[in-house]
Amino acid sequence: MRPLPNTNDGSTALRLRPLNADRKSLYERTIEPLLAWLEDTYTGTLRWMLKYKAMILIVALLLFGSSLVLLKFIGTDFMPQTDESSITLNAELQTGTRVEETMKVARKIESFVFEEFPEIQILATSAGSDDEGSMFSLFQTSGSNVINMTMRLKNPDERAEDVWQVAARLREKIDVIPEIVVYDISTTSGFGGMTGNTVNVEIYGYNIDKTNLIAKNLADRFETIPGAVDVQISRKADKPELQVILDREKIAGHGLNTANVSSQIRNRVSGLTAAMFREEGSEFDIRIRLKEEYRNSITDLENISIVNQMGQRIKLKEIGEVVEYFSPPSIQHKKKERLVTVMVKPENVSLGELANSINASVSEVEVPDDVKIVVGGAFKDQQESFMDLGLLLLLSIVLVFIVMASQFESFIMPFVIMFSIPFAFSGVFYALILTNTTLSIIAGLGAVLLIGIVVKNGIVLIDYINLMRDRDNRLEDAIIMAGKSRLRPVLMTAFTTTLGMLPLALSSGEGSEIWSPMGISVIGGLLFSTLITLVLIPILYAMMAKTGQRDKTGRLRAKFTELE
Amino acid sequence: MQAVFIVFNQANTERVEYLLDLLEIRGYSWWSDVKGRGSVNGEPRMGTHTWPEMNSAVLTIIPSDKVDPLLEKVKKLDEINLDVGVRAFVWEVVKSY
Repeated sequence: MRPLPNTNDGSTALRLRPLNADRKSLYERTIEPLLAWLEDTYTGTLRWMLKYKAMILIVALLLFGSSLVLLKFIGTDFMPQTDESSITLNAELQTGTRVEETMKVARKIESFVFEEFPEIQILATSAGSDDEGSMFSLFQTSGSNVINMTMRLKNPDERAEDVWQVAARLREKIDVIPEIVVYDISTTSGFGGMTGNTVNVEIYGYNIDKTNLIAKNLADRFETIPGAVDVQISRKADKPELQVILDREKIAGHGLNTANVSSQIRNRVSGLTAAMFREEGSEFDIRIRLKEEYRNSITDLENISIVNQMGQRIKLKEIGEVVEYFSPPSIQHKKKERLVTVMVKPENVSLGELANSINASVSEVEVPDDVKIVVGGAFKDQQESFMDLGLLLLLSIVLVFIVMASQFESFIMPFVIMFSIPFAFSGVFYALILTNTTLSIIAGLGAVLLIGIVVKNGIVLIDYINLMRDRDNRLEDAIIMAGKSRLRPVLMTAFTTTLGMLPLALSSGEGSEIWSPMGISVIGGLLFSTLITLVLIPILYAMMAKTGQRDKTGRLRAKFTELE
Repeated sequence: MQAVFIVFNQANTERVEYLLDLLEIRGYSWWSDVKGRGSVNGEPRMGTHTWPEMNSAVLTIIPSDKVDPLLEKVKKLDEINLDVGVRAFVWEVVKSY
């Protein structure tokens, strides 16, 4: 190097010297020795372990076995439940409760929500809404006895409790309100009916009374199951109605038919939109109907006059009678069968656990011959998806095996490599247990993803062992040489993938519950299986491979003995 | 006139070309892909999956006084990295046209 010119002042030169002299860079001083130490430690361990192959294999199998035992303690879910900062309350009072009474209860709930639930920011209430068929009733059950409340919570990071804790507190408060007959608190926003996290017990049977009884019986049993909340029966309580039963002969005699009688009753009771009133750009319906005092009792209704085509007025009681009647609000069908569903939500337990205890409870109930009980809902979807996922897993394992077998021209090599896959799953189970996450479809997805990633580590290692053996190194030497040389690439790929998944696993925003299980399972599986790959695969290779197996020239030359 | 046969790892290609130019050697014959292995040690160059590297070779007929400088340069080149490998062999040229 040329000396620094003298024109510069000396201090700069002095300060520059140490940097330019034989000082090593930070990387050379820290990372390089660390990696060298890692390589030495690893090869040392590998050499030691090659002496105790059988023992290492047994330890590994025990680790795998223990993870399978742990599997029993991991809850299963269909989809991870998410804190969407939204609670929907749907409460029903005694059928036939007047709107005013319903409103009173709604105000009571509102008042303690505002006082005791500072987490709740916005609250929308609809109580006792008219069941005459507004747009709203398409989406929600309505009726004079129904309260619907939608609550919007603060963002998850701005409150101490999660949405399920808030919902649990709300349940405690609502449990003690005597007016409320049934209620349901859901924590999914929007029209969450599609993705509801419930176990549904479907009761098929033609006889409404019979199935109602079984549904009630089951619902009572489910209430006592720990972790079961919001037990709901899909068939609502019968509603009182007034039925006008017409005598067909009599109405025919008066020149009337059921259609015009019913439209006339309707016009008088619920009103006829006669015209529009327009004022300053707004339009108002003008509805004409009887004054309330003339349509308030059965006698009033019977005294309604019906006009026939001749202009004669006929009292309703002359052509029929008005009777009180209890009707089921709706009859659901599935597979052409009448159906009642009992829906149960899990609280602080996983969907799988809840379904198991419900299954046990259902089997205790005696079922008549013409009634069939099926446990379904999100739990059924979960089971179906897990089955699909299992099939997917199997398929990808087969495909991976085929590719490797053709590339290695061997059936043993892929087998050795694929030994790391079960340990990837062990890693997934350990990670789920450690982070207290349930095994959901998303976590399962991570496990499927792992097959490809995990196998790659083995390929890198095995391919290099093969190369070293082809270069006439002894089996154990080849394994140790390959281990030393491939340690860095294996660690590199494992750590890059792990770090890449870290933000996914650690994220805590709204809805992060959906994807974080995937990050957790990939990280856990990858780290664990990488460790296993580095230890177990060389050992398995040593056990499976025979000395001289890859000596292709030697085998060929054995045929040329006549030349000697 | 003497013939100098230089066999070298293909990694040295540019350096060998530079050597020839440096010593103002114009004429040579060049084989791009040559398999081979050393008599004593070193990795074989076979162009296979096991031994993927390959050699090249150059044969040049030069005046006798240029031979020693060339061999000296080849030795220098070899010492940069003994694992890469370069060797030179010299023999007499009896006649030429």
